[in-house]
Amino acid sequence: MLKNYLTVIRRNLFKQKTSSLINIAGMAIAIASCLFILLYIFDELQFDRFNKNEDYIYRLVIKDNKTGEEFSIIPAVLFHDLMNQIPEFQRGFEISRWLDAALSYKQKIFSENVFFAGKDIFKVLSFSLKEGNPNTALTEPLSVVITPAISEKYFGNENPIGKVLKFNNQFNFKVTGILNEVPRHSSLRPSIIASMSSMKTIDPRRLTDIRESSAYFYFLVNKNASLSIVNKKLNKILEQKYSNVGESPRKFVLEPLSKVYLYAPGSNWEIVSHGSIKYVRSFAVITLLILLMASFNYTSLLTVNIKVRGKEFAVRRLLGADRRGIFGQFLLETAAYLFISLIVALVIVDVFMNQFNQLTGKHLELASLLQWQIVISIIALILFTVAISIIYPLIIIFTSDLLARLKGGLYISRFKPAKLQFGFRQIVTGLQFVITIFLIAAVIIIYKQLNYMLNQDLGFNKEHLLSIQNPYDKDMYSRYEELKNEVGINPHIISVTAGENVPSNNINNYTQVWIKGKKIERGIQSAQIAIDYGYLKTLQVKFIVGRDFSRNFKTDAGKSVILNQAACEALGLRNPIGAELNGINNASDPQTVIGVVKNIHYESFKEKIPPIIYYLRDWSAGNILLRLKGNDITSTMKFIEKKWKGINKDQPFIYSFLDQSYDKLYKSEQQTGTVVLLFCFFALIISCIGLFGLISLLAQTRRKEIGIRKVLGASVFNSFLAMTKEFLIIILAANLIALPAAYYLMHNWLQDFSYRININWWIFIASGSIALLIALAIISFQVIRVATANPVKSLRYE
Amino acid sequence: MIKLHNIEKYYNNKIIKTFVLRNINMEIAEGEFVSIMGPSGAGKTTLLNIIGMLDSASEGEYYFYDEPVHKMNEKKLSQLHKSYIGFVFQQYHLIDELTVYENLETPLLYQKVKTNDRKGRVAETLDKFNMVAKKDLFPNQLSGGQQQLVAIARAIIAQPKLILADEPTGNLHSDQGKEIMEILKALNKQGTTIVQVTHSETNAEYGNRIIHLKDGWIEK
Ligand SMILES: Nc1ncnc2c1ncn2[C@@H]1O[C@H](COP(=O)(O)OP(=O)(O)OP(=O)(O)O)[C@@H](O)[C@H]1O
Ligand SMILES: [Mg+2]
Repeated sequence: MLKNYLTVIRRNLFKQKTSSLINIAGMAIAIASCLFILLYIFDELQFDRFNKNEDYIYRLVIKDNKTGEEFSIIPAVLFHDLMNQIPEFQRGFEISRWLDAALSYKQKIFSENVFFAGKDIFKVLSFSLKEGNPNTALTEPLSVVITPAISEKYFGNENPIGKVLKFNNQFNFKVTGILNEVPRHSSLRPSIIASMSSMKTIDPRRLTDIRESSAYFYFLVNKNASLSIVNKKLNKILEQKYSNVGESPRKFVLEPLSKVYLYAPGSNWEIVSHGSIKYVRSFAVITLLILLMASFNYTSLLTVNIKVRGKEFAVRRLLGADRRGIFGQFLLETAAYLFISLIVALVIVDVFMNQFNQLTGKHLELASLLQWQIVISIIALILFTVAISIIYPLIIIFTSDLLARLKGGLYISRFKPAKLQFGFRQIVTGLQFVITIFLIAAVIIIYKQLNYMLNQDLGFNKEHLLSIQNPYDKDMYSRYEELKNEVGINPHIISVTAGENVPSNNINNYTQVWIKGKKIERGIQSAQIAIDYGYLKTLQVKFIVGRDFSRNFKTDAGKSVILNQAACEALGLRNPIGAELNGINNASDPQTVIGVVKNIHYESFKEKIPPIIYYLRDWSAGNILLRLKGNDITSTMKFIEKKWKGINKDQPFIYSFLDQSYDKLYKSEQQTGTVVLLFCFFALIISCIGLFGLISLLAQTRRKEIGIRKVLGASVFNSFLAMTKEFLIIILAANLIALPAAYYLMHNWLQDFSYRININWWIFIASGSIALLIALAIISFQVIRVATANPVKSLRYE
Repeated sequence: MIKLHNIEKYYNNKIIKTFVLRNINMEIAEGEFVSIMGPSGAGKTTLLNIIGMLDSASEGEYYFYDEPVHKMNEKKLSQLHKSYIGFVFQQYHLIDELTVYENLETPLLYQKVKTNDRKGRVAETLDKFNMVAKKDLFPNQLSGGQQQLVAIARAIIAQPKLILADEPTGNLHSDQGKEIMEILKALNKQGTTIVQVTHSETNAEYGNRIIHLKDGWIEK
């Protein structure tokens, strides 16, 4: 029997080659997209799950009640208070990060991101040591554990244990253990962890000053502890501690580790690598849309042939098949169709896996599909697809009269008036248009946003800007001065300056600033960036009002500041020049505003540009900034490197071009955005295939009518009009549903970006019109095909 | 075997009732060979369809082996079709995607006949109808007459108790027609009940009873 069914399936597939091909291709693309998305989503959900105590590990988060902002960076001084006063915390550790430290061993020197963590990190997280004792490795000040890769980099084949790494040319760290490479799905990704107690030596203020927010707290909570009670205790303690720091009301909450990766606010100071729950959700929605449309497509494929198939089923019924048998045959056919598509989809996934990994920065492989959760999801999704796609044809087959089916007149149903069924088909068509129009709008909006981010005015000129890292130590400023003098003579270098931060760096120095004479609570959180003369000019930032720092004014160093526009607005300064501000750089004297510059983007577009206050200080020399002419860059670079090496051999020559740094900064956003765009586009293709199927179906049922019209002397155009009329109404109705939905959902999606495009009305007009054009194109194609056929043939067809 | 009591069949055409069958009363005993005759449009096919449970009567009662067909559900009907009735249609109704061989095989598959037995019976039937050479062709590669032959072969291969044939020889050469009638007659001899619709007096003579239908009435 099975063979008999399979024979029919095979012959039907080959009988209608083009339609089979289009439909299998559509279904395969749909399944492949879903497989990719499933892999992606499951990979995102895997983060931090490798921790044995995952369910009981939490990270402390601070919520700003006023702005709703969330962040997790907390004064390290609070850690021991919390550990001591909350017995529910079984263990915990604090961790902070030192970006771009210069680590050296003998002649080798590199720039590294060094993590500093409390000694219990290995008891909370399931990181493991290859060598060394996890209980004691991070107890002593100035001890450090490193991964094999780092060890190899500095010590080659030598055993690193007991060796000394020099930190910023100043402090000697003893290697006490070898850290196994952290699992790929860890949101914390250290390769060098030093003991937190080292801070006593390096930067004691970080451990004692409540205004120094520099650490992240992780706690392992007792298994039977009540989280709400812990949260209450937490808030009570922290409220007290914070009460003398004049800041807006805050709430402290414990965030489960499993949520950290996807829900981390992703601010500039975030210590963990993170994904976005928003994208996971977008992907889930796209998957459902894709599958829904793929099932519609299959439905219309079945419906196109339903008269023929209905007759076959009727004959089979008379030869002995019962309903179960016919249902079985239907299922088998659908299963076979899906199976072929699945195989093609797997091939597609396999072939494009590399590209997908490149696009998403993941390490997925085909075999990952074999995880049981994914297998179950695939099965569930396939069942969903099958169920949706065969319901309608089955209802028709089962409710229509046996005799009617034998005669090939399927639509005369015993239970349903023919009109109602026609309504159903219009609803399906309408839904298909709703999804298509929605997708067109989504594609346009996402594309525009990505484009906007790419071409956004950064507020400064990023071309040929070179930044050299100049680590923080006692020689920092002299090094800078010397280099400035040495390279200044090179005609390919336009200017040399320095700043604590350069654009594309994270800003990490924030302070409370308030207008002199007003209360501290009325002030604002503002970034402060120490710069040298010429910094703003080198960046080519535009002044809105006032002037740049100048050596001609004695008071500029130490007494004057320049605001960015955001700071000026946040402080509410109408006449900023001459205004006096307190709180900058902990100075006791107020500082006078001498100028306001345009906002420039230091960080990702997802971040709103913070208020920034620029001031002159000699520790501004952390990043040396050079503007080059742009010709002969290679030799200029060689020249600069030689000079740098000549000045000091202890510091690595670490440089970056700001335009490239920006590309990197936006890469992840662009990548994920591009992936969303890509899948939306696939979904669009699939929905167009569906429209093609549906309209072909309609054209076929109208074949006879068009034939008669032609015999009666009507032109092809008349037939075209007759068919278009019906679709026009459906498309208009579809627009009414799709466009508000698109507006609502895309508006939400855009909220994620601080700098975003406006959703223009023309996007919606365009989406509706494009859908209409697609429909008209398909209708014309079908009408011409039918109408130019021999009318006698079409007439005989029925 | 078959008992029709006051069967009426009409179609509701807007407000007008069009009667096709009027007050049909008849009995067919097991082992009979009945021919139904009458002019075109008389309702012969309709009557046959009702007997074959493809169509339901608008009014009246129908008993098959004393069981009320007019009260049966779909499941019961499909069981009766499978185990008792073989159809030969005016329009053949072969499955287009299956070859001659596969078409003949299909009813046996539904009856779960064992593979060897099935092959034997298909071969035997092909032989009987002289279709061995054509067994791998598809219906649309056959002439009308040949399709008719396959349809008859398919109806009898499952050895039903009742064969309903709507003009089984309508498209056949008279020699072939004769052959078919002989086959039907032989089957009838072995106990199969046969009801056929025909226009041909000669063919009607093969049966042991003729029912004349006119404008939906049985003529006495
Ligand atoms: N679905 C229907 N709706 C309305 N009238 C119908 C329908 N089916 C059949 N009829 C009518 O019923 C009458 C009998 O049809 P039937 O097919 O039984 O005739 P017949 O005796 O088999 O004729 P022929 O010898 O041409 O095959 C015809 O007048 C036909 O128009
Ligand atoms: Mg007839």
